Amino acid sequence: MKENAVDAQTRLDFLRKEESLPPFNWPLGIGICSALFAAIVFWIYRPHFGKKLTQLERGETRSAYSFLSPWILGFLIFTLVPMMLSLMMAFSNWDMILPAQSRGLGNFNEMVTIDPSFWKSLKVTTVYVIFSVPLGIAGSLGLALLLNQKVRGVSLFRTLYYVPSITSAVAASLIWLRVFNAETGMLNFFLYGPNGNWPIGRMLSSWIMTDPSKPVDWMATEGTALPALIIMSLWGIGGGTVVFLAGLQGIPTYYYEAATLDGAGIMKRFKAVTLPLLTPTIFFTLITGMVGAFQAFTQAFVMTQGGPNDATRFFVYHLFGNAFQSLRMGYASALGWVLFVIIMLITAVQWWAQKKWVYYEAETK
Amino acid sequence: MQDQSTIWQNSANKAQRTASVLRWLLWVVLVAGVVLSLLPFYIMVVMSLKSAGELAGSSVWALPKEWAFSNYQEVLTNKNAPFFMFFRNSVIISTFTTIGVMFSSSMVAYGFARLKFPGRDRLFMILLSTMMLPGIVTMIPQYALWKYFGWIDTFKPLIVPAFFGGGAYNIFLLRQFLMGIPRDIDEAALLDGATHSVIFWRLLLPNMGPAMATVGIFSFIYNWKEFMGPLIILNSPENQTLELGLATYRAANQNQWELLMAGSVLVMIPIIVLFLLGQRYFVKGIVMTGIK
Repeated sequence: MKENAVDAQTRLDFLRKEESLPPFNWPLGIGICSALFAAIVFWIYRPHFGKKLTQLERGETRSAYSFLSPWILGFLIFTLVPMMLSLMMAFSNWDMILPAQSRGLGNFNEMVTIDPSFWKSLKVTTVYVIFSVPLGIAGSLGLALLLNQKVRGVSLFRTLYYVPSITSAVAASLIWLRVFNAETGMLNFFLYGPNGNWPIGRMLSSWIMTDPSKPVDWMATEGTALPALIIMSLWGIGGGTVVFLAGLQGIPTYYYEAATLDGAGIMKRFKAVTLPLLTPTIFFTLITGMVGAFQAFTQAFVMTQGGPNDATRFFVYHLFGNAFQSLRMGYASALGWVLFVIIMLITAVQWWAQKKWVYYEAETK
Repeated sequence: MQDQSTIWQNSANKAQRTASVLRWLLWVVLVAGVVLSLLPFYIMVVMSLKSAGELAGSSVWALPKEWAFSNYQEVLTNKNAPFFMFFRNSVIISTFTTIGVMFSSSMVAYGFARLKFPGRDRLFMILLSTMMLPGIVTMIPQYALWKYFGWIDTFKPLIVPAFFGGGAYNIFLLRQFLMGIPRDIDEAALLDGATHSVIFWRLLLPNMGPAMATVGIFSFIYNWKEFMGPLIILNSPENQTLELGLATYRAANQNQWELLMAGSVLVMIPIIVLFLLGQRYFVKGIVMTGIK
């Protein structure tokens, strides 16, 4: 408690120092954003500088841009301009009521120094991504391999395994609250047995809880709330499975025939044919899965409200609270940009690393 | 396995017997997995059909002794959470966004797949990179924009953007699909003097059935499930979607699990039915678009 009081005092001091901030420097902000915009346009058309189009090409270009116009307009109005606005707001203090004030690097400074939940939420989100994404990919790949066999009723299986991934997120959260329930939950039933005395469950209890005689209350225990959400995320592996099935069906059968003739067994065929040819699909699901997992929100909102003790305070949940509950739009924008830069950096690293492990067949088109 | 080579076929019976044992084993594993992954649904349905008293006393696994359909009746007729109004709102939002997505993403996909123009490759790179953009980054300024337009607490902020591009993922999917359709027909039509809009609307669109169905079902389900957008935009109770309504309902009825589960069942039924009706095209469409 004492620690918290000190925190609050530092926080107050920090904010008091900024009581009279100058108004936001709009000309400077707009100037920088216009320069960024010009740089993007320059980059897009650079390869075409100095090239003359023929009459025919000009006509094609004109119809191309009319086909593209919805997206270009949408990109400008709903993506690029908002992004630039949020970039400006990241350096401001704005509650949507009074005019924005210039805060310089204050938002970022606040994050790394006095925001009690910034580092925690970053850590929670990172742990969630690190576990849920690879486990999800492994799970969907494994399931896809099984569902790619010729078994009775395979199309029914495919449908049934897919169903959990389309269920409503709120309803799924409610169901899983029951699954993780300490006394009557499904998970504890499998761990503790019908009479609540299986050794596996007891070991778990004594490992996690202060009172080893009670079953684990997954959602209310600091150490288990996040693992529980990771387990729950695996319920949706059916979505990735469909994508992997598509990838598997794109592998020509004669590759397998050739490998079999060469005396390759199941494992060898998997390692030499299936896995390399699936690497583009794995790469695709890795990137999209990661971007999705970094934005986890609904589960925390419905199931835990970020608790216990911030154990499931995802980054986006933290951001949402700042933006739409505390109306600190400037600070929330800064948080959004931090998340964006993190995702971009990780994606860039993966893009660079893919040369080492992703196998692309020679383009035949 | 008819297409296997003869050498393979002549191999010993023993191998075939092992294979059939393995197949049975695989089948058992798959059934066990399905049962496990559908168990939460079972719990949900069973809980939704027990009375509050029975729920407190009985095992979660037990079937209800008396089927309490009154839970459903109570959810459907609750005055504070008007189910049919939420349902109507969800249908309106999901239907119009889906129309917008199908309309605009197919157009844009045609532009990227079939036409050559300055800036194409780099614009496409920008399109792909927007998939990596966390939606929350643009959400705050967009909120300010909607507020400026006076669109807060209306469906417009949720529907209008769908008509402007329809999402990078859908454009990408349809472009891949279009690249797989041979160009002979549209080249012949071009030589005959057809314009690109004629080629798109009359020649290609009719052949895009499975891919369009995939995009349509994807986007309907996505918008039906969408939570954060409606949460931020729609404030008044009569404008809420089913997803929001369910969350509000939970806040109001913390521990009435029989009602919460009945509500969950009702929210899920429409998308599951839609998926089951459309899944034939759905899986086919994903295979054909060849996501890689």
